[in-house]
Amino acid sequence: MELGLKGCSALVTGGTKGIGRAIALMLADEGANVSICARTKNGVDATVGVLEAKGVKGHGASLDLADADALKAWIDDAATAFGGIDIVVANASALAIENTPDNWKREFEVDLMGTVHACEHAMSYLEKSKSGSIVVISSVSGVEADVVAGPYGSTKCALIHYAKGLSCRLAPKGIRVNTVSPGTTYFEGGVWHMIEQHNPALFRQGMAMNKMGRMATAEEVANAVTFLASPRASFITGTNLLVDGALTNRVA
Amino acid sequence: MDLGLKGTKAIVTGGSKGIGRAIAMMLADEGAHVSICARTEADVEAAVKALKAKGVNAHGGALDVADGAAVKTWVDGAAKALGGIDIVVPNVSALAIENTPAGWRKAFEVDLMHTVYTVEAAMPYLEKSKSGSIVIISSISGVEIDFAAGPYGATKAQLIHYAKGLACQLAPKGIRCNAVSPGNTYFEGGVWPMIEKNMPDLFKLALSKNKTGRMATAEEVANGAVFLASPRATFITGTNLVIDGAVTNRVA
Repeated sequence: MELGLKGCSALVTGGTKGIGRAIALMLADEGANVSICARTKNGVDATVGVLEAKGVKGHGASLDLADADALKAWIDDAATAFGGIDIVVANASALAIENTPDNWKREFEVDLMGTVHACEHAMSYLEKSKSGSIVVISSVSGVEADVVAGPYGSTKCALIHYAKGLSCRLAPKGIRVNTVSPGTTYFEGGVWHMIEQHNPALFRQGMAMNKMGRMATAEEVANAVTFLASPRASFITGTNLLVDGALTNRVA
Repeated sequence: MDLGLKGTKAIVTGGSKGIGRAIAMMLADEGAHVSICARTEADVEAAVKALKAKGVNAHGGALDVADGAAVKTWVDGAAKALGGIDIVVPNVSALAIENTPAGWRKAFEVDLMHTVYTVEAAMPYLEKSKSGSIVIISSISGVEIDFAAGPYGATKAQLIHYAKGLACQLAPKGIRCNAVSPGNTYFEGGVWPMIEKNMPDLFKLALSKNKTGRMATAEEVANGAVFLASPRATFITGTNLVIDGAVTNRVA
């Protein structure tokens, strides 16, 4: 299926690891120019090198998403480097699980406000695109209350609401906004890999919830994000696509 | 994006017109062998011819899908002709809008039971597939109350529940099941051109609710259905993909 991504320009927050990296690389595989941001300069440089090796333009900046000014500067730089922005993927999460005031603040600043700033600041570029599209990465923890209900789950829930509101607001302008809610996703260096090593009981519990007997790969999540971001999804906006192997039981 | 559909075998109910036809044709474009069924022999023949012209194997049956025995005969015939079944797309609807006992019965026998008959008849084949997948076509009328609340909307809601239940039951077997819920879909010979002609006020009202200012094309719905049916969606099961241009307002 030709997704129509060749020559598009995309931003991915948190694009050096896991799901964000898989999305960035898949967008590049489909011919899109990609800019990423992440906290570590080495990680950013390495990923930009991998993107460029795919024959597209790569770009990146190291920053903390809680720093709105740095975030905005990165977006403007990327738009200058690529000559515009067609796709925004708000992916980075603070993964702040424990119910502490600091974690609520961190979830608010990174997951929620990082997404709000990225979307709102990219808006002037998306408005000039012929196929503007935003994909917000939420989580199954935003749609069902599970072990990470609290700062993480409720902030992910707020993201689904924000994306829906944005989709309604932007539909007349032809800009689409969707959410992808992954289930438990296992990748080298990721949170489930860590849990497997340090908390085998919790890992077993996480696996037991997976009716398919396994967790998602980052690429399986990226498949959905890349499809939704693409012009092939031209009438899909305001939806929340669960990629969870039927982990959740709700009917919706 | 290579969807991995080349050489797979798919069956689509109601594949001679509208959304069903668009799905059948797109599956064939991706290299899948396709069988369709519809009520009118001549329409089935024409669609099978169009499918074969794409260089894949094609098969068809003319039948009333409310007839469970006829559905089973068609499914078995399709499996024999194509050499198995990997993908099942129950798509037919009676479009029973009127709130009458006859309308309820029609929605029950056609929309609901034909889906059940098709899935049950195909199950032995799906169990032998390496990438078994079911995509059930529901409707946004199954997720929000609109003018089609009554037999149509309630039965479409039931299909979403059925699809989720199947996803949970079949996950351990590696068979995926998802629903697609299109919004208003406009195509030649479809219900919306008819409404446009015969009930212009209802058409204007419906169009005004489309925040994008237009209705979906059958191809835009097919894009979503074909992606979900494909091995690129390996971890997507139990989801309901709304393809409605944000016509619904619910957050989910």
